[in-house]
Amino acid sequence: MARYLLRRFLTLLGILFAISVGAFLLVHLLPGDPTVTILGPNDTAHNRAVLMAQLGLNQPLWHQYLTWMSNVLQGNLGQSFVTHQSVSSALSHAFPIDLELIIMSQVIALVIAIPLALASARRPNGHLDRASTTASFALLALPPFILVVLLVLIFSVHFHVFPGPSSYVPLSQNVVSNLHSLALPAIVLALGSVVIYFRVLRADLIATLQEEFITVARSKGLSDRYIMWRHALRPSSISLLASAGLNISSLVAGAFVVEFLLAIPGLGFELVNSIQQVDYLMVQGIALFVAVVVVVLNFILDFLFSVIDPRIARD
Amino acid sequence: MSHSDDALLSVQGLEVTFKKGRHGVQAVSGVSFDVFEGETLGLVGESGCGKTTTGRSIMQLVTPTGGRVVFDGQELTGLRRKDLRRARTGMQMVFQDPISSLNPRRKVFDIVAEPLDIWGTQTGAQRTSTVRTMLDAVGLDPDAVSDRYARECSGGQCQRVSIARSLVMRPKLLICDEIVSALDVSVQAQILNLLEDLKAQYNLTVVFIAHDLAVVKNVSDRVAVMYLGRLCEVAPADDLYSSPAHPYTADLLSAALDASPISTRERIVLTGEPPSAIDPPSGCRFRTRCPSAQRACAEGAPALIEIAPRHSVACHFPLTRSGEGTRSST
Amino acid sequence: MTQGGIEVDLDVERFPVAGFGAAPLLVVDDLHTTFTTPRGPLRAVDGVSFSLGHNETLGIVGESGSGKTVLSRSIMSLLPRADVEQTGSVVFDGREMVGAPAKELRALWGAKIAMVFQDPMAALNPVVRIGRQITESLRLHLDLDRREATAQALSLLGQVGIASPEIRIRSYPHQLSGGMRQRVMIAIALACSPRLLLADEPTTGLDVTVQAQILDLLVEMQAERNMAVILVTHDLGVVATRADRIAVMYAGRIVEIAATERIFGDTAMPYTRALLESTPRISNASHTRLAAIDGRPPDLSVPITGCAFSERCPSATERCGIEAPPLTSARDDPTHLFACWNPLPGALRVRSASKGASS
Repeated sequence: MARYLLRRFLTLLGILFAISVGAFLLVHLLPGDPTVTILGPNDTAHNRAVLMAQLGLNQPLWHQYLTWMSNVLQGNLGQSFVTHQSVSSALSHAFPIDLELIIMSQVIALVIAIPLALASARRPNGHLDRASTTASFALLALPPFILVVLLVLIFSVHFHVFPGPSSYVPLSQNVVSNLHSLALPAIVLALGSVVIYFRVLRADLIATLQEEFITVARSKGLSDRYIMWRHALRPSSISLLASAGLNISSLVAGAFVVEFLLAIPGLGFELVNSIQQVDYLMVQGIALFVAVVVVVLNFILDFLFSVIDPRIARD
Repeated sequence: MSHSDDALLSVQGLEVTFKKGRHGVQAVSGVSFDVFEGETLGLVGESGCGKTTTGRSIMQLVTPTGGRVVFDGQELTGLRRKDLRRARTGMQMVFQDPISSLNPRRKVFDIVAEPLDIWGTQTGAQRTSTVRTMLDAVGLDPDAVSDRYARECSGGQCQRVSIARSLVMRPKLLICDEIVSALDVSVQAQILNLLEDLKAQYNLTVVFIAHDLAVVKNVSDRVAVMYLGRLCEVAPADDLYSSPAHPYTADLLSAALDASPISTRERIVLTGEPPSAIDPPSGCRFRTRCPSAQRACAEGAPALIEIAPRHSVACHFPLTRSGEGTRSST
Repeated sequence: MTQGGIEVDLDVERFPVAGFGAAPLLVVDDLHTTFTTPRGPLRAVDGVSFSLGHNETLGIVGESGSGKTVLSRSIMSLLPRADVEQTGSVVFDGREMVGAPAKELRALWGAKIAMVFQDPMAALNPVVRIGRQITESLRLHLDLDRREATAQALSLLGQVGIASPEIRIRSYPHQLSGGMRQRVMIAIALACSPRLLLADEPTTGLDVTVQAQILDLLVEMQAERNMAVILVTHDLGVVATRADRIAVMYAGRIVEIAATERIFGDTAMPYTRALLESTPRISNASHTRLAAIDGRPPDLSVPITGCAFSERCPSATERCGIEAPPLTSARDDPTHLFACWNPLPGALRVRSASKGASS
């Protein structure tokens, strides 16, 4: 077990190194000049050169990378060129919003997908199964940036059930209003995941229900509901977990798009602003942080496989 | 066991080690036997005893990590691929699962003709006639089955097709690995009878690997019993079944179920299951389950010694001919 | 005992058979189980009738496709109802099972009727600990709390011969050997002390020595618990010394049913004899020619006229292909039933053409 964790950890370090290089290069290949953003378009070439030297942007790329990484490793992600706010402080303000949004959406997704899959799998091609399969196909055709507009039109503009864009309330201010303000974006994100989770879980459940151990469970006189939850669900969750892992990055991307569209001050919102302002350190910092989060989440999910199915060896 | 020159197949000190993680698992450890021309040697044992691996390493489908396999005067171990392929045409293997060992999307005729096509030995009318003769020999009507796909055949028919394919190159040696264990009793009898007929007709030498003691006895001239990668006992079939010398053979026979309501045999039921091949017991590998094990059994592995003509046993304390051994049975 | 169907002395009283003395535990009457398949109806069980006494062991023997597995599941009404049609009657302990509401069946399953399945690796849930797979039926049917159920499970594991049950109770199935898994399966089935145990090929995938252990265990458990056992198998050797009576199935029907000694020594139905003579025996010399029967069992999705075995039968006559023989009792033994127009020599024991519903 310890060996397994150690090996996984070393792999993780390698991946993180590759990501840091990627994030760094990506940002430096972006078109635009930060000195223009900071000094305005009309300043002299001399002042620009001085600022470039101050920011260390005249150094060779590998040198800039090493400087940045050595700071990062000491916990210093640098400062925004534009707002002079430290990148870590910006992250610590914005990230909890993303985290809350993603957790909310996943809870909603699982709460809908699991019971729906259990009910559908009991009678494949029954009425419920056909209805939910058709509905899930329809949802698949709607990307989040269309869905969010649609839902805002329906629920905010027409029915006034949820607040519209630019109405984010921080958690520290009022818990209920906060949840209310994040409900719509969370539902938008959840719907995309529901489709995936429902379809994957339904397919696995149908296969699991053909297994002999389900017949054995029935032969013990256990109720159908007990059998579905206690005997069928867990062995059918492997693909669900795998798809959750694959879904993480698109979920983050979806969250960013929704935040940007609804002006929720999460990482996505910050990232788009920083890119527009060619705020190198800010973009690098966010990109690196998000990548680390995604990788760590996958690492945890990977570990969950062996928790769900004890047969998956850990060596 | 001494190597005789008239043996068609001679296996000497065969060892096969598989890598499993960082451990090596020795599936076969030092197995030696000869198979003489025209005889059937039965290889019997429980799952994990190494009988299938032995069969496959004779064919060099599994590369032995030690020992020699001499077939028809030629040593197969260490042979180059090309030479090995040629040598292998003289020996053929038939597998357990008749249905999955045939490509379901090929026609029966083409399956049987395949070895001929690979070697290009026969073409045209000669090829057709050879395949039809072979199908007929295994009890299939060539007109009815030639154009049938393998997936349309029953288990018994598939096994007949497999046998026809293996015989089409006229091999001297046939290795049968559990060829009837997936078949129903009535079909099993058909295949066993067929094997006896073909053996006489084509002068075959057979290594018959199976777990079913009654099946092995039915087709074999001599029987070799394996336990955890080693040979326990080799003897003519009737001798081995009437007076087993190795305690394991005796226990195996005692546990076997016979389709008869009157059991005259005394029952000795072994407790437990075979230990893991990853970490086999020292000395005699059967000693952990053997009712007559003594200290010597843990210290040294017994060699295979001839205790009667053609009857060899690897045991420090073999049971005597009368069946009353140095132990008491329950 | 003599061969060739010559009459032998037999103590019928040893075999508790319905109609004799106490009421039977199980009465199966004209049971049909038909699967709906894309190719049309498949008659897997085609009019089976027999009864089973308390504490009796009945062996059901047949080749693959004979309907023996479907029969055992039909007796329990365990087949999913969606694509299966079941008619006839199965009366267990005075209660009709066919068409009974699911709730009533569930109260019997695991409590009064239990089943041991063929492949214990497939039959045990791979992600649930052994302990819970045993305790769940105890808690459901006997209303035990967690601690009582665990204590009971430990004791059951001990009874079926599992060493250090307190460790094994926390194991997952893949951590056990094949033989241990089947012992666990038996512990699960026996948990609530059922009256009837159905064992479907309980030893088929196991090694010879382990097979003997498991069968001995079943016999021992039956003796201790006063339960009836139906032992379903393709291997006559499994039931030869362990069943009181044997029923031979062919193409979804029982073609012969009798006390074990009579099945072996006084065979009436040619198929039974074919099965016996095509089975290799250790007691025969090597190279003994097996009496193989040609052909293979019929396709059950095609309606069968006459006797299903007639095409392969050496003693078939014209009548056999036209008219299906009813189960008929032997003249000297009313509990020996067979379905054959031309029974083997000694066939003069035919008494009358009874309906054969109750043996």
